[in-house]
Amino acid sequence: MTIQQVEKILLENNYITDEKITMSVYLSIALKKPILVEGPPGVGKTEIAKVLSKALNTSLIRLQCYEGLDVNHAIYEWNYQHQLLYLKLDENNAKNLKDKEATIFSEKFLLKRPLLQAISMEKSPVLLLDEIDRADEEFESFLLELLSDYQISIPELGTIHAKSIPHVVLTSNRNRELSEALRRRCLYLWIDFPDFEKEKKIVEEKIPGINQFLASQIVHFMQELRQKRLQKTPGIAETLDWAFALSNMHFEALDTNIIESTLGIIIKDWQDTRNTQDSLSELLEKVNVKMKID
Amino acid sequence: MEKQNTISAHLIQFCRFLRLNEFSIGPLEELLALEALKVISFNDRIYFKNALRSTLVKNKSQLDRFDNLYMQYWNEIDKAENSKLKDKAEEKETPEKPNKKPSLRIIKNWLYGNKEEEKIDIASYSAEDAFTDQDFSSFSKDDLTDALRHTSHLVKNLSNRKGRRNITSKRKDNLDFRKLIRKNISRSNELIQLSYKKRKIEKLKLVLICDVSRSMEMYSKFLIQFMYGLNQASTKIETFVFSTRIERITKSLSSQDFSIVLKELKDSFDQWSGGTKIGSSLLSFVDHYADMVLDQKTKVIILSDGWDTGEPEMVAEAMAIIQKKCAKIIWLNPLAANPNFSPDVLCLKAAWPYINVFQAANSVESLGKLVQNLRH
Repeated sequence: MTIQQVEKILLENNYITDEKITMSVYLSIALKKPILVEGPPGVGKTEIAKVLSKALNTSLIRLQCYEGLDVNHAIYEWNYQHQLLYLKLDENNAKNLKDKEATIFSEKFLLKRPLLQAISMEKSPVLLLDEIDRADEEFESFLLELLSDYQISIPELGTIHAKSIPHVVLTSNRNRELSEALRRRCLYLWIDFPDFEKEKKIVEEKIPGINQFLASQIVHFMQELRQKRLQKTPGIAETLDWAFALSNMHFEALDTNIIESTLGIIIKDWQDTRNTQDSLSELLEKVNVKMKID
Repeated sequence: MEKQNTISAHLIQFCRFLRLNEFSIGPLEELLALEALKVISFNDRIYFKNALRSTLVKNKSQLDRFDNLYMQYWNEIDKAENSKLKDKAEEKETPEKPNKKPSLRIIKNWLYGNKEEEKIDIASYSAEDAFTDQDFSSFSKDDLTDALRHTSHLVKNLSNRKGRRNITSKRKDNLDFRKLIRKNISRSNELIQLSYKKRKIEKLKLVLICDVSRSMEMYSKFLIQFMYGLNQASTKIETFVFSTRIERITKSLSSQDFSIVLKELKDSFDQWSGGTKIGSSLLSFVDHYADMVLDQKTKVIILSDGWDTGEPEMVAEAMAIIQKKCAKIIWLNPLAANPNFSPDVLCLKAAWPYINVFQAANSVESLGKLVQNLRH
């Protein structure tokens, strides 16, 4: 696969990319390296993994990380209830203890969690470790082992080697600094809020029937809005929701009334709402000036 | 180091250059970058640069500096190359010219950042008693950081204490027998469903309200570091600043990078060193935030000297409401260390009945006392 092909595939799957993203994705495929994606919320970090799995025509295994995530939920767990029932049913069988033990600690009674699933598939899947910064540091250091050797050891069964090396995508919102060791094993990619051109392309790509003029206005407005100091800066997802709503209601252009009544789609914080309402006409003014320059 | 002609040698030299600029690059990264170059067509300058960026950069701050360093490096190499061409022309005339070419020596020095001048970081520990009882207003920057690191550490220990209550745990460490029996009571003698427990962590909940008016300007550096230090230590802390109006700045303090925090703080509040209106500020805190951030486990720390021109009745009204809604009000006053100090400022007098703990905040010792007060 060449870098041009990667770019084409991403575009075909409705992912508007730029050269930095393309290069990182391409290198992660070519070098079989995990890719660590950081950036503000709502810029399409998780989307990369989804598109990647579509593009490579393979399955996506997702592990949402959270505080307290442990081995039982991430890798494997013995199906205790199943084991117990089996023993109960098998009570009258005169098997010796060793056989019984071998039976209940076999793969049949193993619940495979995402990480184990990912390395035991025939065709390399895309493994998405979402919001890795929320997981504990212990879990992070455990990942180190998995990401460098691609093997998992289960005391009762022995070491399980990867049948195929998964394409790993880690995302982080920078709630916590990740360890240097983990970073060193990954390619690093920072995705920022898109510029006007890119965001407009995304809007047009995702909402095909949208009025060109309205799309430009919406994107200009969002770009201006992000310049303001907000508690929660709206991402691309908000832009798309808003554009979708406005285009479905068949508005042709923005005005203060429309914006005010639909503000809840893009701003999700009381204080932000109040601040934005105060400076709405000013924002709209700026948007109109930009539209004229275009 | 001589000028390198092959790509790989160049790359290694570039890695060294980055390492001098505080990039953490080891052989692993160098190898990765070389492998990356193998799979792209590195004739394209943009591809080349992007590939290096993808493989050598490991975090945001490095990313921000990468482009600049990249340009610096290649510009310098270009310069050296040009001067070498000149040297070659001269060489024909005087073949005995010494091997070491000055331009290359310059580049070498530049590349290694002039070793002699390189600063050496020595890990140092400055003992507590070295600055105990020193007034913060006379502190140098480094002293301050040490004092606050100390406080922040104490608060951190406090903030993650395990409480008495148990909660259900997903971690399979301790069986919760009470729940276990309850869950399996219908199944006679088999224990099918297991249940686990762990101690619940009781986060220390704090609300910090800081006076940043002109009269407090002398302590502003300490104030900012104090707010920053506490924010780093505990997750459940809300910070407000006021002069003539009050502003919530919790979010501005959330970054780990102190320089970013400073910038954010500057943007987030436009009345640093303004006038003082304690009464109306506290009342607007009560109106807008009190219900959201206060509860019976939250301790409120107010940091102010109480010098105000506003009406003391408003202060009393606000303090009464805050006291009802929180666990404890601690008033820190930088002036209270003075032995002649008495709380006879109007506003402070008005607030006095509602303050649970009043103490000085001007030395490490007083900060230690503060931590003790936070415990109970």
